[in-house]
Amino acid sequence: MSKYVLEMDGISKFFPGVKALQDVSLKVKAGEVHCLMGENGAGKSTIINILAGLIEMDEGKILIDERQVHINKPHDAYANGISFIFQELSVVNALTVEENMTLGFESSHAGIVDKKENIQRVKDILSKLDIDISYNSIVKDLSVCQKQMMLIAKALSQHSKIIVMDEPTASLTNKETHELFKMIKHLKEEGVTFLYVSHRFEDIFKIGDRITVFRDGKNAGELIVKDTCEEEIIRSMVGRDIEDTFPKRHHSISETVLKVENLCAHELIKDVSFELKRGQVIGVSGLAGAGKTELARALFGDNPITSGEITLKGRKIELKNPKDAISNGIALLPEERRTQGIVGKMTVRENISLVISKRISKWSIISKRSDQQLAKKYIKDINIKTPSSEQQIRLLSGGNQQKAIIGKWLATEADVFLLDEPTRGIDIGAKSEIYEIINNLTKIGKAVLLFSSELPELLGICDEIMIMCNGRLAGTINGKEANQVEIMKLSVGGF
Amino acid sequence: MSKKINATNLQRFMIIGILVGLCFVFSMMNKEFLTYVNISNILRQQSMVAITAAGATFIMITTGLDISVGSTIALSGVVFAKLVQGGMHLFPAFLIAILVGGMVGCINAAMIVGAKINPVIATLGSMYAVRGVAYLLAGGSTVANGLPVNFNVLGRGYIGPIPIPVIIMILIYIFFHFVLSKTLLGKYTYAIGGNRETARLSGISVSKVMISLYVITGLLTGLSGTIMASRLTSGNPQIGAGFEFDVIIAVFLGGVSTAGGEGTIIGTFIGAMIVGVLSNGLNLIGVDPFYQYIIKGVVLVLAVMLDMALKGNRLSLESLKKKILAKS
Repeated sequence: MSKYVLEMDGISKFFPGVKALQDVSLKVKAGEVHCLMGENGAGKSTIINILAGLIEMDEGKILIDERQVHINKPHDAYANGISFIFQELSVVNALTVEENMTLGFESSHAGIVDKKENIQRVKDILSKLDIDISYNSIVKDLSVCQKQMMLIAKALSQHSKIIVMDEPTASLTNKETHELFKMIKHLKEEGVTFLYVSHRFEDIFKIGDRITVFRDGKNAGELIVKDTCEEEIIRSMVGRDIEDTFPKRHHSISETVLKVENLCAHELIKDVSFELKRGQVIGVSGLAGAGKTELARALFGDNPITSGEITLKGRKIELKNPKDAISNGIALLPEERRTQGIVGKMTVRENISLVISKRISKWSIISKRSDQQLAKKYIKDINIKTPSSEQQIRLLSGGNQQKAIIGKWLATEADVFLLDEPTRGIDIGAKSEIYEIINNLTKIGKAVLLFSSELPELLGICDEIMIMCNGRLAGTINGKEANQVEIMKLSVGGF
Repeated sequence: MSKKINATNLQRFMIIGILVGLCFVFSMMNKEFLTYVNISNILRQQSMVAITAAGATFIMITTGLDISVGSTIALSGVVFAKLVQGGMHLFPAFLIAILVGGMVGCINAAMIVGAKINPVIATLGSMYAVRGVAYLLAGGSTVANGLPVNFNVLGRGYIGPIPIPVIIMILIYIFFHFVLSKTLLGKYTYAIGGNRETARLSGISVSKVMISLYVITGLLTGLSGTIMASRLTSGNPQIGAGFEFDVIIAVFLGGVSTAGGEGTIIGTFIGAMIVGVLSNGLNLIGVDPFYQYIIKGVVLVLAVMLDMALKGNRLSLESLKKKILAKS
């Protein structure tokens, strides 16, 4: 019976309004590949960030080799033999392999780098691991896979016992994945432990030993890879009841307003076709990287369309930039509220009228009265909680910022609303208010595309759900008949 | 209204306080400081920096920069003098000289907006090149011969008791205060500086706005150049070294943040006056000009530090928290 090399015990982390982790335990045995699985927002990243010393936990303890350790900053993690290979690979592209691998750990005498010694060290480790990269290649010329290999080698040269990898195969070819796995298996035999974050079942079954499943910030169970199957994993990932936060809807679906045929876009959208009707909410589901946001951007003129046709209100339209989309009556609530949705330093009023400033101005002078009336109207209509319309929007809560941005798009009187993760990072109360707003939109004949990674939300309010996988539509399910397991299956490209 | 003073208001009070404080100190140290003649001198001397800074405020709110303005005033001044020397009437020559400034703005915009060159590098390039053109046009020396007597009216004349450059400056400030606070261009300027991505996704043509701002600043700098030439009764290709520095200090002192998205025209005016009062006062009390360079350098860095202390740090803490939140 192998002992636990890493134990995270009773870990809790609270963010304002959100319980990111609640009493989570994670036990990793020496020399295994331990997989972390769960939906977006289930808590995987949070626990990894705690282990990396990037965020502080509120409760709980971490044991390494049965000895309690304190990890408060990234250096503590390294000092305890834990290395991280994140999706954003931390390499210095302009330096050589040797310089990267010894960065911060150079052999030196009196501040002068001992190049010879460093090169020897790097050569040794590369040949020991049988990695076919030259020590003097410039890192920017390496493939993603080679960079990962280099980082693994670097980790080992720093005597790491545990290597944490976050979706390492996301941008690898099949052949490269195969090579990476070969190396992981080889290192496993040498006693190195891997903590492997992924939602790719293929990977998990090939390389994993055990799985810890996360769900809503809790540990939803441990599974042994060779004794389990995809069905069981998916059930643990989604096995919760849909909360009753979704208001009843009145269906009044009428004519088609948006018709998309064989849409292909520069980035990751392949042959997507669908029809959206007035009064309808169609959900777009898919895992990270499936092309949800890219589709939203393409329909908003912000992701160059390479082929296919878009027909809006019976008229073929061309979308070259967001301006085209807006003038055709398309609105986009972008994915990242803070960096794409609001202008933080502007007031609630200025944000609400940002898109339609031109319409309420004469000779380029903005009508103060219309501006204020508009702000008042939307603050009241959609219940934006703000001390006044002159408050800087960055000082509002996330949910109220989001409502103000919805107000901004309502003011454009658009017909089609593309909502990209409209409830991300906001509290339950504001969430259900946003669902209410979506319902009201459909009541007055608007059409909504809801791009979301939250399955309960999609199931709760959508008439139809389209599931994307690798830029394609993997399937469309009727909202009433859909269930989470079915969506998950299509999302992972299975069956 | 609540008693809470936010960072922006606090900064406003502080720069007004600094201006009043400086005036108080200098008037205590030298009786001549607070006289009508001296004050109107300060205003007239600073009018050129202030006029250019009005345009630079817009650019710097968007986090852009134009350091070519010092060379542009030399070029437009030389063009003005050269045309008048050649027999052209004052008014058309005046307009053409201003348009030359606008052309420099166009070239800057083409590099920064069109070719996406970093504004510091692009305008550093035009700063040198434009200076060269000014020298070439002037034939390497000052254009002073054969200028009519009324050439200096623009820079030295008065309407009633007020110097003409000061009147022009005041009109420019009233106009651009209106533009920045009431018009689409003003709102879009704040939006681009506050969050360029949001502005773009709100259908604002960021390129068009940026081009307009560089051209406007070029035109205003052209105007400053004609005033300068008129004041000196010559077109001097050497003039304006360090001019860009005074403009940048004025704008930062006035409350434009290095992070962009905020600042006012009135603030810039006070900033420009602080720079003017500082130079004038230090001269009056007999501080060696070499020390003045040091003092100005320190003031620029202090102004930016003040801004960071009041707004910067707090903001970055907030954004850090949100980043982590978004990740979890």
